[in-house]
Amino acid sequence: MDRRWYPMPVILMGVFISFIAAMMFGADSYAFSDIWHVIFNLDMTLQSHQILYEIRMPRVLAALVAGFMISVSGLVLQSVTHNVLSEPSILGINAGANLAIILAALIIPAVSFAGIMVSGFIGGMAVGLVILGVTRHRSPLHLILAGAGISLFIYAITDFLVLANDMGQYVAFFTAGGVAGQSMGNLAIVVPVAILLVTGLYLMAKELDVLLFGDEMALSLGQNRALYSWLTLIIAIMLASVAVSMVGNVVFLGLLVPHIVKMIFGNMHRFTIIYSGLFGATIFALSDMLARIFNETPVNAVIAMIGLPFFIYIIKKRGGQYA
Amino acid sequence: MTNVTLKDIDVELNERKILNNINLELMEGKVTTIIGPNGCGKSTMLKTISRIISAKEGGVYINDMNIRQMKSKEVAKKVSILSQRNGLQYDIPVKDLVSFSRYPHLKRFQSLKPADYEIIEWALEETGAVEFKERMMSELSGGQAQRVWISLLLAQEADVLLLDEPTTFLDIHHQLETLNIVKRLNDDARQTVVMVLHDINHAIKYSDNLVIMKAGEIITTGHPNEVLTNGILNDVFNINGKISIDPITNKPILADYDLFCETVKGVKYGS
Ligand SMILES: Nc1ncnc2c1ncn2[C@@H]1O[C@H](COP(=O)(O)OP(=O)(O)O)[C@@H](O)[C@H]1O
Ligand SMILES: [Mg+2]
Repeated sequence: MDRRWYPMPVILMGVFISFIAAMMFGADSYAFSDIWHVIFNLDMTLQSHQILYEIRMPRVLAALVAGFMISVSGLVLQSVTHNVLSEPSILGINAGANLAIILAALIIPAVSFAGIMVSGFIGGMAVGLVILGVTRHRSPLHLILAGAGISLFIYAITDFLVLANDMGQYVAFFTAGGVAGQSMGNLAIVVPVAILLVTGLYLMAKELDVLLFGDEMALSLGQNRALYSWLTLIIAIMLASVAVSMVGNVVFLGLLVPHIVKMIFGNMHRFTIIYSGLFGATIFALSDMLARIFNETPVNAVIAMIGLPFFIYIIKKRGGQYA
Repeated sequence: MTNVTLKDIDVELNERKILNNINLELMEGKVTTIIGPNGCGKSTMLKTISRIISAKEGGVYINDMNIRQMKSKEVAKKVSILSQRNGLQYDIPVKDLVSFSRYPHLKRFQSLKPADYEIIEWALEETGAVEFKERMMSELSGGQAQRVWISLLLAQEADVLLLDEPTTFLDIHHQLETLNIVKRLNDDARQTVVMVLHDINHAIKYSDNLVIMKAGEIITTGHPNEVLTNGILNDVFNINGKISIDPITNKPILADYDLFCETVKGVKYGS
Protein backbone atom coordinates (compact mmCIF):
# COMPACT_ATOMS: atom_id res chain seq x y z
CA MET A 1 0.00 0.00 0.00
CA ASP A 2 1.13 3.53 -0.74
CA ARG A 3 2.81 5.09 2.27
CA ARG A 4 0.61 8.15 1.90
CA TRP A 5 -2.24 6.05 3.29
CA TYR A 6 -0.32 5.17 6.48
CA PRO A 7 -1.52 8.20 8.51
CA MET A 8 -5.15 7.31 7.75
CA PRO A 9 -5.92 5.46 11.03
CA VAL A 10 -4.52 8.36 13.05
CA ILE A 11 -6.52 10.88 11.07
CA LEU A 12 -9.76 8.90 11.37
CA MET A 13 -9.09 8.73 15.09
CA GLY A 14 -8.62 12.51 15.06
CA VAL A 15 -12.00 12.98 13.37
CA PHE A 16 -13.65 10.73 15.94
CA ILE A 17 -11.99 12.49 18.86
CA SER A 18 -13.01 15.89 17.52
CA PHE A 19 -16.59 14.64 17.22
CA ILE A 20 -16.58 13.50 20.85
CA ALA A 21 -14.89 16.70 22.03
CA ALA A 22 -17.30 18.89 20.08
CA MET A 23 -20.19 16.97 21.66
CA MET A 24 -18.77 17.33 25.15
CA PHE A 25 -17.70 20.96 25.26
CA GLY A 26 -19.64 24.11 24.52
CA ALA A 27 -21.85 26.58 26.34
CA ASP A 28 -22.49 23.68 28.75
CA SER A 29 -20.14 20.75 29.11
CA TYR A 30 -21.12 17.13 29.38
CA ALA A 31 -19.29 14.00 30.49
CA PHE A 32 -17.98 11.49 28.01
CA SER A 33 -20.43 8.95 29.45
CA ASP A 34 -23.34 11.25 28.50
CA ILE A 35 -22.19 11.30 24.89
CA TRP A 36 -21.75 7.55 24.96
CA HIS A 37 -25.30 7.08 26.23
CA VAL A 38 -26.77 9.48 23.69
CA ILE A 39 -25.21 7.45 20.93
CA PHE A 40 -25.88 3.95 22.24
CA ASN A 41 -28.89 4.18 24.53
CA LEU A 42 -30.70 7.41 24.00
CA ASP A 43 -33.28 8.30 26.63
CA MET A 44 -35.30 11.26 25.43
CA THR A 45 -36.98 11.68 28.82
CA LEU A 46 -33.66 13.05 30.11
CA GLN A 47 -33.22 16.75 29.40
CA SER A 48 -29.48 16.38 28.85
CA HIS A 49 -30.08 13.71 26.23
CA GLN A 50 -32.68 15.88 24.57
CA ILE A 51 -30.29 18.81 24.32
CA LEU A 52 -27.38 16.69 23.14
CA TYR A 53 -29.39 14.78 20.58
CA GLU A 54 -31.63 17.49 19.21
CA ILE A 55 -29.41 20.53 19.39
CA ARG A 56 -25.78 19.67 19.78
CA MET A 57 -25.43 16.52 17.71
CA PRO A 58 -26.98 17.97 14.54
CA ARG A 59 -24.77 20.98 14.98
CA VAL A 60 -21.58 18.93 15.35
CA LEU A 61 -22.50 16.61 12.48
CA ALA A 62 -23.35 19.59 10.29
CA ALA A 63 -19.94 21.09 11.07
CA LEU A 64 -18.21 17.83 10.15
CA VAL A 65 -20.19 17.42 6.93
CA ALA A 66 -19.92 21.06 5.84
CA GLY A 67 -16.21 21.16 6.70
CA PHE A 68 -15.69 18.09 4.55
CA MET A 69 -17.66 19.53 1.63
CA ILE A 70 -16.18 23.03 1.66
CA SER A 71 -12.63 21.72 1.84
CA VAL A 72 -13.03 19.22 -0.97
CA SER A 73 -14.71 21.91 -3.04
CA GLY A 74 -11.79 24.29 -2.43
CA LEU A 75 -9.28 21.64 -3.41
CA VAL A 76 -11.01 20.86 -6.69
CA LEU A 77 -11.58 24.53 -7.51
CA GLN A 78 -7.86 25.18 -7.04
CA SER A 79 -6.94 22.33 -9.37
CA VAL A 80 -9.44 23.03 -12.13
CA THR A 81 -8.90 26.77 -12.24
CA HIS A 82 -5.11 26.39 -11.89
CA ASN A 83 -5.34 29.05 -9.26
CA VAL A 84 -3.89 28.58 -5.80
CA LEU A 85 -6.25 31.16 -4.34
CA SER A 86 -9.49 29.59 -5.53
CA GLU A 87 -12.00 28.68 -2.87
CA PRO A 88 -15.80 28.87 -2.67
CA SER A 89 -16.12 32.30 -1.04
CA ILE A 90 -13.51 33.96 -3.28
CA LEU A 91 -15.27 32.57 -6.33
CA GLY A 92 -18.46 34.25 -5.15
CA ILE A 93 -20.26 30.95 -4.64
CA ASN A 94 -21.19 31.93 -1.09
CA ALA A 95 -22.50 35.33 -2.14
CA GLY A 96 -24.46 33.89 -5.07
CA ALA A 97 -25.96 31.09 -3.03
CA ASN A 98 -26.86 33.56 -0.30
CA LEU A 99 -28.68 35.89 -2.70
CA ALA A 100 -30.53 33.06 -4.40
CA ILE A 101 -31.64 31.65 -1.06
CA ILE A 102 -33.00 35.04 0.01
CA LEU A 103 -34.81 35.36 -3.31
CA ALA A 104 -36.27 31.88 -2.90
CA ALA A 105 -37.45 32.74 0.62
CA LEU A 106 -39.05 35.94 -0.71
CA ILE A 107 -40.88 34.19 -3.51
CA ILE A 108 -41.89 31.08 -1.56
CA PRO A 109 -42.14 32.14 2.10
CA ALA A 110 -42.27 28.57 3.44
CA VAL A 111 -39.55 27.21 1.18
CA SER A 112 -38.30 23.76 2.21
CA PHE A 113 -34.66 23.01 2.93
CA ALA A 114 -34.39 21.11 -0.36
CA GLY A 115 -35.67 24.24 -2.08
CA ILE A 116 -33.05 26.31 -0.29
CA MET A 117 -30.37 23.87 -1.41
CA VAL A 118 -31.40 23.98 -5.05
CA SER A 119 -31.63 27.77 -5.12
CA GLY A 120 -28.28 27.96 -3.34
CA PHE A 121 -26.77 25.84 -6.07
CA ILE A 122 -28.25 27.92 -8.87
CA GLY A 123 -27.05 31.18 -7.30
CA GLY A 124 -23.61 29.81 -6.41
CA MET A 125 -23.16 28.42 -9.89
CA ALA A 126 -24.26 31.63 -11.62
CA VAL A 127 -21.97 33.95 -9.69
CA GLY A 128 -19.08 31.44 -9.61
CA LEU A 129 -19.16 31.11 -13.38
CA VAL A 130 -19.33 34.86 -13.91
CA ILE A 131 -16.26 35.43 -11.73
CA LEU A 132 -14.40 32.56 -13.36
CA GLY A 133 -15.34 33.85 -16.79
CA VAL A 134 -14.07 37.34 -16.00
CA THR A 135 -10.75 36.06 -14.64
CA ARG A 136 -10.03 33.24 -17.07
CA HIS A 137 -6.35 33.11 -18.04
CA ARG A 138 -5.61 35.87 -15.54
CA SER A 139 -3.39 35.85 -12.49
CA PRO A 140 -4.54 34.66 -9.05
CA LEU A 141 -4.67 38.32 -8.07
CA HIS A 142 -7.31 39.06 -10.70
CA LEU A 143 -9.44 36.34 -9.22
CA ILE A 144 -9.21 37.88 -5.76
CA LEU A 145 -10.07 41.33 -7.07
CA ALA A 146 -12.96 40.25 -9.26
CA GLY A 147 -14.18 37.83 -6.60
CA ALA A 148 -14.13 40.42 -3.83
CA GLY A 149 -15.70 43.11 -6.02
CA ILE A 150 -18.50 40.99 -7.42
CA SER A 151 -19.17 39.35 -4.04
CA LEU A 152 -19.51 42.77 -2.41
CA PHE A 153 -21.91 43.82 -5.14
CA ILE A 154 -24.01 40.68 -4.64
CA TYR A 155 -24.01 41.15 -0.88
CA ALA A 156 -25.14 44.74 -1.39
CA ILE A 157 -28.11 43.54 -3.44
CA THR A 158 -28.82 40.92 -0.81
CA ASP A 159 -28.70 43.51 1.95
CA PHE A 160 -31.04 45.74 0.04
CA LEU A 161 -33.56 42.92 -0.43
CA VAL A 162 -33.26 41.99 3.20
CA LEU A 163 -33.81 45.51 4.48
CA ALA A 164 -36.62 46.25 2.06
CA ASN A 165 -38.42 43.09 3.14
CA ASP A 166 -37.56 43.13 6.81
CA MET A 167 -35.82 39.74 6.83
CA GLY A 168 -32.86 40.67 9.05
CA GLN A 169 -33.21 37.73 11.42
CA TYR A 170 -33.29 35.19 8.68
CA VAL A 171 -30.21 36.52 6.99
CA ALA A 172 -27.83 37.46 9.77
CA PHE A 173 -27.16 33.76 10.17
CA PHE A 174 -26.19 33.28 6.53
CA THR A 175 -23.80 36.19 6.28
CA ALA A 176 -22.05 35.34 9.54
CA GLY A 177 -21.80 31.65 8.77
CA GLY A 178 -22.22 28.99 11.39
CA VAL A 179 -23.88 25.76 12.31
CA ALA A 180 -26.36 26.89 14.96
CA GLY A 181 -29.91 25.67 14.57
CA GLN A 182 -29.28 22.56 12.48
CA SER A 183 -31.70 19.67 12.37
CA MET A 184 -31.28 15.99 11.70
CA GLY A 185 -33.83 16.47 8.94
CA ASN A 186 -31.54 18.81 7.00
CA LEU A 187 -28.64 16.44 7.51
CA ALA A 188 -30.66 13.56 6.14
CA ILE A 189 -30.88 15.52 2.90
CA VAL A 190 -27.35 16.91 2.81
CA VAL A 191 -25.40 13.78 3.71
CA PRO A 192 -26.56 11.60 0.78
CA VAL A 193 -25.99 14.51 -1.60
CA ALA A 194 -22.51 15.04 -0.19
CA ILE A 195 -21.64 11.35 -0.47
CA LEU A 196 -22.81 11.28 -4.07
CA LEU A 197 -20.85 14.38 -5.07
CA VAL A 198 -17.63 13.41 -3.29
CA THR A 199 -17.79 9.91 -4.76
CA GLY A 200 -18.17 11.46 -8.18
CA LEU A 201 -15.07 13.57 -7.64
CA TYR A 202 -13.13 10.64 -6.23
CA LEU A 203 -13.93 8.60 -9.33
CA MET A 204 -12.41 11.44 -11.35
CA ALA A 205 -9.26 11.71 -9.21
CA LYS A 206 -7.01 10.74 -12.11
CA GLU A 207 -8.74 13.25 -14.37
CA LEU A 208 -8.06 15.96 -11.81
CA ASP A 209 -4.40 14.89 -11.62
CA VAL A 210 -4.00 15.25 -15.37
CA LEU A 211 -5.92 18.55 -15.42
CA LEU A 212 -3.71 19.93 -12.66
CA PHE A 213 -0.57 19.30 -14.65
CA GLY A 214 -1.67 21.56 -17.44
CA ASP A 215 -3.22 21.76 -20.87
CA GLU A 216 -0.33 20.28 -22.76
CA MET A 217 -0.16 17.22 -20.51
CA ALA A 218 -3.91 16.75 -20.83
CA LEU A 219 -3.85 17.06 -24.61
CA SER A 220 -0.86 14.80 -25.13
CA LEU A 221 -2.49 12.08 -23.02
CA GLY A 222 -5.73 12.39 -24.95
CA GLN A 223 -7.87 13.73 -22.13
CA ASN A 224 -11.19 15.35 -22.93
CA ARG A 225 -10.18 18.43 -21.02
CA ALA A 226 -13.33 20.48 -21.48
CA LEU A 227 -15.59 17.65 -20.34
CA TYR A 228 -13.69 16.90 -17.15
CA SER A 229 -13.01 20.55 -16.32
CA TRP A 230 -16.71 21.26 -16.49
CA LEU A 231 -17.82 18.12 -14.69
CA THR A 232 -15.45 18.58 -11.77
CA LEU A 233 -16.07 22.32 -11.62
CA ILE A 234 -19.84 21.88 -11.49
CA ILE A 235 -19.59 19.21 -8.82
CA ALA A 236 -17.25 21.38 -6.75
CA ILE A 237 -19.64 24.33 -6.98
CA MET A 238 -22.55 22.07 -6.03
CA LEU A 239 -20.66 20.82 -3.00
CA ALA A 240 -19.92 24.34 -1.83
CA SER A 241 -23.43 25.66 -2.51
CA VAL A 242 -25.09 22.83 -0.64
CA ALA A 243 -22.74 23.46 2.27
CA VAL A 244 -23.55 27.17 2.16
CA SER A 245 -27.28 26.43 2.23
CA MET A 246 -26.64 24.69 5.51
CA VAL A 247 -23.94 26.74 7.21
CA GLY A 248 -23.93 30.10 5.46
CA ASN A 249 -20.93 32.12 4.46
CA VAL A 250 -17.93 30.20 5.74
CA VAL A 251 -14.66 31.67 4.49
CA PHE A 252 -11.00 30.66 4.44
CA LEU A 253 -11.62 26.97 5.28
CA GLY A 254 -11.72 25.99 1.60
CA LEU A 255 -8.42 27.74 1.00
CA LEU A 256 -6.60 26.73 4.16
CA VAL A 257 -7.36 23.02 4.33
CA PRO A 258 -6.39 21.94 0.80
CA HIS A 259 -3.11 23.82 1.10
CA ILE A 260 -2.24 22.16 4.38
CA VAL A 261 -3.12 18.78 2.89
CA LYS A 262 -1.12 19.36 -0.31
CA MET A 263 1.90 20.43 1.67
CA ILE A 264 1.79 17.19 3.64
CA PHE A 265 0.57 14.68 1.07
CA GLY A 266 1.50 16.15 -2.31
CA ASN A 267 -0.78 16.71 -5.27
CA MET A 268 -2.37 13.42 -6.22
CA HIS A 269 -6.10 13.74 -5.87
CA ARG A 270 -6.83 10.21 -4.72
CA PHE A 271 -5.13 11.26 -1.47
CA THR A 272 -5.89 14.96 -1.32
CA ILE A 273 -9.66 14.60 -1.83
CA ILE A 274 -10.03 12.28 1.12
CA TYR A 275 -7.56 14.03 3.40
CA SER A 276 -8.92 17.51 2.62
CA GLY A 277 -12.37 16.25 3.54
CA LEU A 278 -11.27 14.72 6.81
CA PHE A 279 -9.05 17.66 7.82
CA GLY A 280 -11.78 20.12 6.90
CA ALA A 281 -14.38 18.21 8.90
CA THR A 282 -12.13 18.18 11.96
CA ILE A 283 -11.08 21.80 11.75
CA PHE A 284 -14.65 23.01 11.27
CA ALA A 285 -16.05 20.88 14.11
CA LEU A 286 -13.33 22.05 16.51
CA SER A 287 -13.72 25.68 15.41
CA ASP A 288 -17.44 25.49 16.08
CA MET A 289 -16.75 23.94 19.46
CA LEU A 290 -14.48 26.84 20.36
CA ALA A 291 -17.07 29.27 19.00
CA ARG A 292 -19.61 27.78 21.38
CA ILE A 293 -17.23 27.84 24.33
CA PHE A 294 -16.40 31.48 23.68
CA ASN A 295 -19.92 32.79 23.74
CA GLU A 296 -20.86 32.10 20.13
CA THR A 297 -17.90 33.87 18.58
CA PRO A 298 -18.35 33.87 14.76
CA VAL A 299 -17.00 30.57 13.51
CA ASN A 300 -15.11 32.30 10.67
CA ALA A 301 -13.03 34.14 13.24
CA VAL A 302 -12.22 30.91 15.02
CA ILE A 303 -11.24 29.13 11.80
CA ALA A 304 -8.91 31.97 10.95
CA MET A 305 -7.46 31.96 14.43
CA ILE A 306 -6.70 28.26 14.71
CA GLY A 307 -5.99 27.75 11.02
CA LEU A 308 -3.58 30.53 10.30
CA PRO A 309 -0.80 29.59 12.74
CA PHE A 310 -0.86 26.01 11.45
CA PHE A 311 -0.79 27.30 7.89
CA ILE A 312 2.20 29.53 8.60
CA TYR A 313 3.99 26.77 10.50
CA ILE A 314 3.65 24.40 7.56
CA ILE A 315 4.78 27.00 5.03
CA LYS A 316 7.80 27.78 7.19
CA LYS A 317 8.70 24.18 7.89
CA ARG A 318 8.26 22.84 4.41
CA GLY A 319 9.58 25.93 2.74
CA GLY A 320 6.94 25.48 0.06
CA GLN A 321 8.24 22.02 -0.82
CA TYR A 322 5.40 19.60 -1.21
CA ALA A 323 6.12 16.12 0.14
CA MET B 1 3.19 -0.79 -37.20
CA THR B 2 1.98 2.74 -37.29
CA ASN B 3 2.31 4.89 -40.36
CA VAL B 4 2.20 8.61 -39.76
CA THR B 5 1.83 10.96 -42.69
CA LEU B 6 1.52 14.74 -42.71
CA LYS B 7 -0.44 15.97 -45.71
CA ASP B 8 -0.45 19.58 -46.94
CA ILE B 9 -0.37 20.99 -43.43
CA ASP B 10 -0.76 24.69 -42.74
CA VAL B 11 -0.75 25.86 -39.15
CA GLU B 12 -1.65 29.32 -37.96
CA LEU B 13 -1.18 30.62 -34.43
CA ASN B 14 -2.65 34.02 -33.56
CA GLU B 15 -3.36 34.53 -37.27
CA ARG B 16 0.30 34.13 -38.08
CA LYS B 17 1.29 31.39 -40.45
CA ILE B 18 3.70 29.11 -38.59
CA LEU B 19 3.79 26.02 -40.82
CA ASN B 20 3.41 26.21 -44.56
CA ASN B 21 2.45 23.26 -46.72
CA ILE B 22 4.19 20.52 -44.74
CA ASN B 23 4.27 17.09 -46.38
CA LEU B 24 6.14 14.32 -44.61
CA GLU B 25 5.90 10.60 -44.06
CA LEU B 26 7.60 9.44 -40.89
CA MET B 27 9.95 6.51 -41.55
CA GLU B 28 8.54 3.60 -39.60
CA GLY B 29 10.89 2.14 -37.04
CA LYS B 30 13.56 4.70 -37.86
CA VAL B 31 14.98 7.76 -36.15
CA THR B 32 14.11 11.04 -37.83
CA THR B 33 15.70 14.24 -36.59
CA ILE B 34 14.37 17.70 -37.31
CA ILE B 35 16.89 20.51 -37.42
CA GLY B 36 16.37 24.17 -38.13
CA PRO B 37 16.83 27.57 -36.57
CA ASN B 38 14.94 28.76 -33.50
CA GLY B 39 11.34 29.65 -34.26
CA CYS B 40 11.17 27.82 -37.61
CA GLY B 41 8.26 25.67 -36.42
CA LYS B 42 9.86 22.43 -35.22
CA SER B 43 7.94 22.30 -31.96
CA THR B 44 4.77 23.34 -33.72
CA MET B 45 5.17 20.44 -36.11
CA LEU B 46 5.60 17.89 -33.30
CA LYS B 47 2.63 19.36 -31.45
CA THR B 48 0.54 19.12 -34.59
CA ILE B 49 1.42 15.45 -34.98
CA SER B 50 0.39 14.73 -31.40
CA ARG B 51 -2.84 16.72 -31.73
CA ILE B 52 -1.88 19.41 -29.23
CA ILE B 53 -2.21 21.98 -32.02
CA SER B 54 -4.67 21.62 -34.88
CA ALA B 55 -3.82 22.29 -38.49
CA LYS B 56 -5.71 24.95 -40.40
CA GLU B 57 -5.33 23.12 -43.68
CA GLY B 58 -4.39 19.53 -44.37
CA GLY B 59 -4.04 16.90 -41.70
CA VAL B 60 -2.06 14.28 -39.89
CA TYR B 61 -2.93 10.72 -40.82
CA ILE B 62 -2.25 7.69 -38.66
CA ASN B 63 -2.65 4.54 -40.75
CA ASP B 64 -4.67 6.57 -43.26
CA MET B 65 -7.01 7.91 -40.59
CA ASN B 66 -7.12 11.65 -39.95
CA ILE B 67 -6.27 12.18 -36.27
CA ARG B 68 -9.12 14.68 -36.01
CA GLN B 69 -11.48 11.81 -36.71
CA MET B 70 -9.90 9.58 -34.08
CA LYS B 71 -10.70 9.50 -30.37
CA SER B 72 -8.09 11.54 -28.55
CA LYS B 73 -7.10 8.60 -26.34
CA GLU B 74 -6.58 6.48 -29.48
CA VAL B 75 -4.17 9.09 -30.82
CA ALA B 76 -2.35 9.09 -27.47
CA LYS B 77 -1.97 5.32 -27.69
CA LYS B 78 -0.22 5.70 -31.04
CA VAL B 79 1.82 8.87 -30.55
CA SER B 80 3.53 10.10 -27.40
CA ILE B 81 5.38 13.38 -27.00
CA LEU B 82 8.10 14.73 -24.75
CA SER B 83 7.63 18.47 -24.82
CA GLN B 84 10.43 20.98 -25.06
CA ARG B 85 9.58 22.73 -21.84
CA ASN B 86 8.39 20.20 -19.35
CA GLY B 87 9.02 22.27 -16.27
CA LEU B 88 6.50 21.24 -13.66
CA GLN B 89 4.32 23.81 -11.99
CA TYR B 90 3.58 21.37 -9.19
CA ASP B 91 5.85 18.87 -7.58
CA ILE B 92 5.08 15.18 -7.84
CA PRO B 93 6.79 11.88 -6.98
CA VAL B 94 8.54 10.28 -9.93
CA LYS B 95 6.42 7.15 -9.94
CA ASP B 96 3.19 9.17 -9.96
CA LEU B 97 4.37 11.30 -12.85
CA VAL B 98 5.24 8.22 -14.89
CA SER B 99 1.86 6.72 -14.04
CA PHE B 100 0.20 9.46 -16.12
CA SER B 101 1.48 7.58 -19.15
CA ARG B 102 -1.15 4.92 -18.60
CA TYR B 103 -4.00 7.42 -18.84
CA PRO B 104 -4.82 6.75 -22.51
CA HIS B 105 -5.06 3.04 -21.76
CA LEU B 106 -7.52 3.41 -18.90
CA LYS B 107 -11.27 3.48 -19.30
CA ARG B 108 -13.37 6.20 -17.73
CA PHE B 109 -13.27 5.99 -13.90
CA GLN B 110 -10.78 3.12 -14.10
CA SER B 111 -7.66 3.28 -11.97
CA LEU B 112 -4.26 1.67 -12.50
CA LYS B 113 -4.21 -2.12 -12.58
CA PRO B 114 -1.29 -4.41 -11.65
CA ALA B 115 -0.41 -4.74 -15.33
CA ASP B 116 -0.08 -0.95 -15.56
CA TYR B 117 2.24 -0.87 -12.56
CA GLU B 118 4.39 -3.53 -14.24
CA ILE B 119 4.70 -1.44 -17.39
CA ILE B 120 5.59 1.65 -15.35
CA GLU B 121 8.25 -0.34 -13.49
CA TRP B 122 9.63 -1.65 -16.78
CA ALA B 123 9.80 1.84 -18.26
CA LEU B 124 11.61 3.16 -15.19
CA GLU B 125 14.11 0.30 -15.44
CA GLU B 126 14.69 0.90 -19.15
CA THR B 127 15.93 4.42 -18.52
CA GLY B 128 17.59 3.72 -15.19
CA ALA B 129 15.15 6.01 -13.41
CA VAL B 130 13.92 3.20 -11.19
CA GLU B 131 16.45 3.97 -8.47
CA PHE B 132 14.84 7.33 -7.76
CA LYS B 133 11.21 6.47 -8.40
CA GLU B 134 10.22 7.33 -4.82
CA ARG B 135 11.83 10.78 -4.99
CA MET B 136 10.11 14.05 -5.85
CA MET B 137 10.74 15.55 -9.29
CA SER B 138 12.05 18.73 -7.64
CA GLU B 139 14.89 16.73 -6.07
CA LEU B 140 16.27 15.43 -9.37
CA SER B 141 19.08 16.72 -11.54
CA GLY B 142 18.36 17.66 -15.14
CA GLY B 143 19.66 14.34 -16.45
CA GLN B 144 17.65 12.34 -13.94
CA ALA B 145 14.50 14.31 -14.70
CA GLN B 146 14.98 13.69 -18.41
CA ARG B 147 15.17 9.92 -17.78
CA VAL B 148 11.88 10.15 -15.91
CA TRP B 149 10.25 11.99 -18.81
CA ILE B 150 11.50 9.38 -21.23
CA SER B 151 10.10 6.66 -18.95
CA LEU B 152 6.77 8.43 -19.17
CA LEU B 153 7.03 8.35 -22.94
CA LEU B 154 7.88 4.65 -22.92
CA ALA B 155 5.17 3.57 -20.53
CA GLN B 156 2.62 5.21 -22.80
CA GLU B 157 3.47 2.35 -25.17
CA ALA B 158 2.95 4.36 -28.32
CA ASP B 159 4.56 3.28 -31.59
CA VAL B 160 5.67 6.79 -32.39
CA LEU B 161 7.82 8.79 -29.97
CA LEU B 162 8.21 12.53 -30.45
CA LEU B 163 11.01 14.19 -28.49
CA ASP B 164 11.36 17.95 -28.61
CA GLU B 165 14.93 18.96 -27.78
CA PRO B 166 15.51 16.10 -25.36
CA THR B 167 19.13 17.12 -24.82
CA THR B 168 18.83 20.86 -24.29
CA PHE B 169 19.97 21.89 -20.81
CA LEU B 170 21.94 18.66 -20.33
CA ASP B 171 25.72 18.43 -20.13
CA ILE B 172 27.50 16.51 -22.87
CA HIS B 173 27.62 13.27 -20.87
CA HIS B 174 23.90 13.32 -20.18
CA GLN B 175 23.13 14.39 -23.73
CA LEU B 176 24.81 11.26 -25.01
CA GLU B 177 23.23 9.14 -22.31
CA THR B 178 19.77 10.40 -23.28
CA LEU B 179 20.38 9.87 -26.98
CA ASN B 180 21.76 6.39 -26.35
CA ILE B 181 18.62 5.45 -24.45
CA VAL B 182 16.49 6.70 -27.33
CA LYS B 183 18.63 4.85 -29.87
CA ARG B 184 18.53 1.63 -27.87
CA LEU B 185 14.75 1.82 -27.59
CA ASN B 186 14.50 2.37 -31.28
CA ASP B 187 16.80 -0.62 -31.92
CA ASP B 188 15.01 -2.91 -29.50
CA ALA B 189 11.38 -2.03 -29.91
CA ARG B 190 11.41 -0.66 -33.45
CA GLN B 191 9.52 2.38 -32.32
CA THR B 192 9.44 5.29 -34.71
CA VAL B 193 11.36 8.20 -33.22
CA VAL B 194 11.12 11.82 -34.28
CA MET B 195 13.23 14.29 -32.38
CA VAL B 196 14.37 17.87 -32.54
CA LEU B 197 18.08 18.42 -31.94
CA HIS B 198 20.29 21.44 -32.20
CA ASP B 199 23.63 19.67 -32.33
CA ILE B 200 24.25 18.83 -35.99
CA ASN B 201 26.77 16.11 -35.14
CA HIS B 202 24.30 14.42 -32.80
CA ALA B 203 21.73 14.61 -35.56
CA ILE B 204 24.14 12.87 -37.94
CA LYS B 205 25.21 10.26 -35.39
CA TYR B 206 21.77 9.19 -34.23
CA SER B 207 19.44 9.62 -37.20
CA ASP B 208 18.42 7.59 -40.21
CA ASN B 209 16.67 10.56 -41.66
CA LEU B 210 17.06 14.32 -41.38
CA VAL B 211 14.31 16.88 -41.86
CA ILE B 212 15.71 20.34 -42.39
CA MET B 213 13.33 23.19 -41.74
CA LYS B 214 13.41 26.91 -42.21
CA ALA B 215 10.72 29.53 -41.69
CA GLY B 216 7.81 27.09 -41.40
CA GLU B 217 8.78 24.97 -44.38
CA ILE B 218 10.64 21.75 -44.93
CA ILE B 219 13.69 22.58 -47.03
CA THR B 220 14.82 19.04 -47.60
CA THR B 221 14.74 15.55 -46.12
CA GLY B 222 16.97 12.54 -46.53
CA HIS B 223 19.80 10.51 -45.09
CA PRO B 224 22.36 12.66 -43.25
CA ASN B 225 25.03 11.57 -45.74
CA GLU B 226 23.05 13.00 -48.60
CA VAL B 227 21.41 16.16 -47.34
CA LEU B 228 24.08 17.76 -45.20
CA THR B 229 26.12 20.09 -47.28
CA ASN B 230 27.92 23.31 -46.65
CA GLY B 231 25.37 24.98 -48.89
CA ILE B 232 22.44 23.82 -46.74
CA LEU B 233 24.10 25.01 -43.54
CA ASN B 234 24.73 28.33 -45.14
CA ASP B 235 21.17 28.57 -46.41
CA VAL B 236 19.32 27.35 -43.30
CA PHE B 237 21.41 28.48 -40.36
CA ASN B 238 23.32 31.24 -42.05
CA ILE B 239 26.62 29.81 -40.85
CA ASN B 240 29.81 29.06 -42.61
CA GLY B 241 30.01 25.30 -41.91
CA LYS B 242 32.65 22.89 -43.05
CA ILE B 243 31.29 19.39 -43.53
CA SER B 244 33.97 16.73 -43.87
CA ILE B 245 33.79 12.96 -43.97
CA ASP B 246 34.73 11.21 -40.75
CA PRO B 247 37.44 8.72 -41.83
CA ILE B 248 36.31 6.14 -39.25
CA THR B 249 32.53 6.14 -39.63
CA ASN B 250 32.45 7.36 -43.20
CA LYS B 251 29.68 9.69 -42.12
CA PRO B 252 29.71 13.43 -42.58
CA ILE B 253 30.87 15.49 -39.65
CA LEU B 254 30.51 19.18 -38.97
CA ALA B 255 34.19 19.82 -38.40
CA ASP B 256 34.18 23.55 -38.03
CA TYR B 257 31.74 26.38 -38.27
CA ASP B 258 31.59 30.10 -37.86
CA LEU B 259 29.38 33.02 -38.64
CA PHE B 260 29.91 34.78 -41.89
CA CYS B 261 31.60 38.12 -41.59
CA GLU B 262 29.20 39.89 -39.29
CA THR B 263 29.36 42.52 -36.62
CA VAL B 264 27.49 42.00 -33.39
CA LYS B 265 27.55 44.75 -30.84
CA GLY B 266 30.72 46.12 -32.32
CA VAL B 267 32.66 42.87 -32.06
CA LYS B 268 33.84 41.43 -35.34
CA TYR B 269 33.32 37.71 -35.74
CA GLY B 270 34.68 35.48 -38.49
CA SER B 271 36.52 36.90 -41.39
N1 LIG C 1 1.10 29.90 -28.95
C1 LIG C 1 1.67 30.61 -29.94
N2 LIG C 1 1.04 31.67 -30.47
C2 LIG C 1 1.60 32.39 -31.47
N3 LIG C 1 2.78 32.13 -32.01
C3 LIG C 1 3.46 31.08 -31.54
C4 LIG C 1 2.96 30.27 -30.48
N4 LIG C 1 3.86 29.30 -30.21
C5 LIG C 1 4.88 29.52 -31.06
N5 LIG C 1 4.65 30.57 -31.85
C6 LIG C 1 5.52 31.08 -32.92
O1 LIG C 1 5.62 30.07 -33.87
C7 LIG C 1 6.90 30.03 -34.41
C8 LIG C 1 7.44 28.64 -34.36
O2 LIG C 1 7.58 28.26 -33.02
P1 LIG C 1 8.18 26.85 -32.62
O3 LIG C 1 7.44 25.80 -33.34
O4 LIG C 1 8.21 26.79 -31.15
O5 LIG C 1 9.67 26.95 -33.18
P2 LIG C 1 10.93 26.02 -32.91
O6 LIG C 1 10.50 24.89 -32.07
O7 LIG C 1 11.36 25.62 -34.26
O8 LIG C 1 11.94 26.88 -32.24
C9 LIG C 1 7.74 31.05 -33.64
O9 LIG C 1 7.88 32.18 -34.42
C10 LIG C 1 6.91 31.33 -32.41
O10 LIG C 1 7.09 32.67 -32.03
MG1 LIG D 1 10.99 24.33 -30.22
